[in-house]
Amino acid sequence: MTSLPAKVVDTEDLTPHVSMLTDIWRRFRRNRLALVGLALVFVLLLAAALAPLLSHYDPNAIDTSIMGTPQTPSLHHLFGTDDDGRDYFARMLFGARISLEVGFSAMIIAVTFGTFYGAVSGYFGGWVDSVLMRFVDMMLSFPTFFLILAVEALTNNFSIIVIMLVIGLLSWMSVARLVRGQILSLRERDYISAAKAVGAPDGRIMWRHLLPNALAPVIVAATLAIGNNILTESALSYLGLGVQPPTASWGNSLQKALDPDVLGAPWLTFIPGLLIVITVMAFNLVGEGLRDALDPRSSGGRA
Amino acid sequence: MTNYLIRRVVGLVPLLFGISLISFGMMFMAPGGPTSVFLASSHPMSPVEIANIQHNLGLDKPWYVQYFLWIGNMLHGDFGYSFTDGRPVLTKIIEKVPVTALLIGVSFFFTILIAIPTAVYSAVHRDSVFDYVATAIAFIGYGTPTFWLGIELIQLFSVKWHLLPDSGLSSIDSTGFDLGDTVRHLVLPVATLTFVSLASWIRFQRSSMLEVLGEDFIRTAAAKGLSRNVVIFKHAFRNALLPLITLLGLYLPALLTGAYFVEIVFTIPGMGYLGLNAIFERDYPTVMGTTIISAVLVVVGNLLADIGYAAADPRIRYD
Repeated sequence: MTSLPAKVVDTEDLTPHVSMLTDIWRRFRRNRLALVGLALVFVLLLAAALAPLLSHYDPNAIDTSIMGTPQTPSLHHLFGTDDDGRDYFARMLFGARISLEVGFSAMIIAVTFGTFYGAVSGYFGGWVDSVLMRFVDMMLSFPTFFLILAVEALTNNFSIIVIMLVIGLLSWMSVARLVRGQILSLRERDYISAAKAVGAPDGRIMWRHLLPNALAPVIVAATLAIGNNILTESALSYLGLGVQPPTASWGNSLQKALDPDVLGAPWLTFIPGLLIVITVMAFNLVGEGLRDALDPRSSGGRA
Repeated sequence: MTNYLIRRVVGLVPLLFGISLISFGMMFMAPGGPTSVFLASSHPMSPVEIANIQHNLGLDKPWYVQYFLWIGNMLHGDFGYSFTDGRPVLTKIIEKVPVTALLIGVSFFFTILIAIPTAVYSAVHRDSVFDYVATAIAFIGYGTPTFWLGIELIQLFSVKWHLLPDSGLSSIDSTGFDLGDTVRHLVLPVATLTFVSLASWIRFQRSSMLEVLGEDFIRTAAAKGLSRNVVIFKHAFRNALLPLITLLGLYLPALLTGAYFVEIVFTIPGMGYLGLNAIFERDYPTVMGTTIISAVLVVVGNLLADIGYAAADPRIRYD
């Protein structure tokens, strides 16, 4: 079967030349759910970016005349007002900013650190790998959220930067494991031996040959991490150990959910929760779509 | 198998050592340190008094001495005393374990009961309407904050319709143990925890089933004329169950976290409720105790899952 060649080459020449990105997009587009997710992500990013333009209300302005009696949603107040007489639509828009900021920043911290950690572990192997991976095992043994909660409470600093750092620095472990696994399997390939044989330094092999090939699953994990971080931030803020009032966040809007004033105004609880669900779902849909699109071997089985 | 077991159990020692070191480091490096609790108390203390307290608690010793004292005590079952009520931390935690275990156990039972048939049906009827709906529900489940779902259920079933209790595990006026009453109290918390867990199990079991269905031995079984049901249930399903054992180990931390949230929203006195209150009250010994015991539960769970997997899958060799 080794001498079949001419025709195979011909058919390959017939396929139009497409760049890698076009190819990925072509496959991504086939997944309708992923497209819905992508559209939702765009809407959210736009809404967050244009928050001050989309609502002329100040999210923190208290209207004392209606304090204690939340107004039902109306044309004036699209999402009504909360128990402090603040426009809820404006608060939700600015809450979107917080969620996305924390979601993305914490993801970047976790992915950067996790990739570096996993790459070092996988590339050097041996005892370096053993030590580094045992540490990952230890960190993964704690219920992560509880750890984040405890650290956040102990630092007793609830600025957005600290929240991003705490979430990011306590959620890099799965990325590290992922990258290490990729590197371990890649470094045995012939092209790496070839690079070593011609004397390429470790750093170059890592940057030019290993990491680019290990990128696909990292991109997927990064997308899914954004959703997770948003969930974590909302939970922290709900418990009062995250974004502090009066700054609006979807999570801290739920703090008073079971107070008598708010119980009579169910939309005040329903809206922020629904926004969280939609946002996290959107990122997860995109992530799963990317998983299929980035891996040409998958037949789209994880629709 | 025995060798494998011994190796795994021996491997736990450094892991547990590391876990204790991380927990200790976390508390040790906290700004203010444990004495900040006393400093914040109502009556202001002189530097001498503070030094005395630090000496009594051993906080004036170097960190490694403190660590070894602490871990030495812990190995004897002494997790220290709660800063808030002075009771032994271990006792406080142990009396909460059954509550959390009950919550996790019951909802896990329902999760599996719903997730497995759903996932198998989805995989066998891939791309059907049912499959799409199940997938959609799974994605919604992934994105649903546990605490929010709990709040919404309370709002509907307790506040609006007065059907079910919104907190605790028994009514205040109940005398002794009343099964019906406990069950009524468990409905909403268990429903919450089950729904948020469903997503992972449906997705995982579905892809595991799809993978097995694509294997050569399934084609062989179908080709030699076995009925569809026999192929699906006897050949595919059994093999697709194996990876679930691993997921159980991996999922345990998330399950604990979920249970903690449910306890907080429904004011159920379990480990999560205890741990969260300890965090708020800066009750360091209790926080450390809850953290470590949670981690140990996860480690033991993982070990059991690995052993279970090795026992269930003859392809795994122990040497």
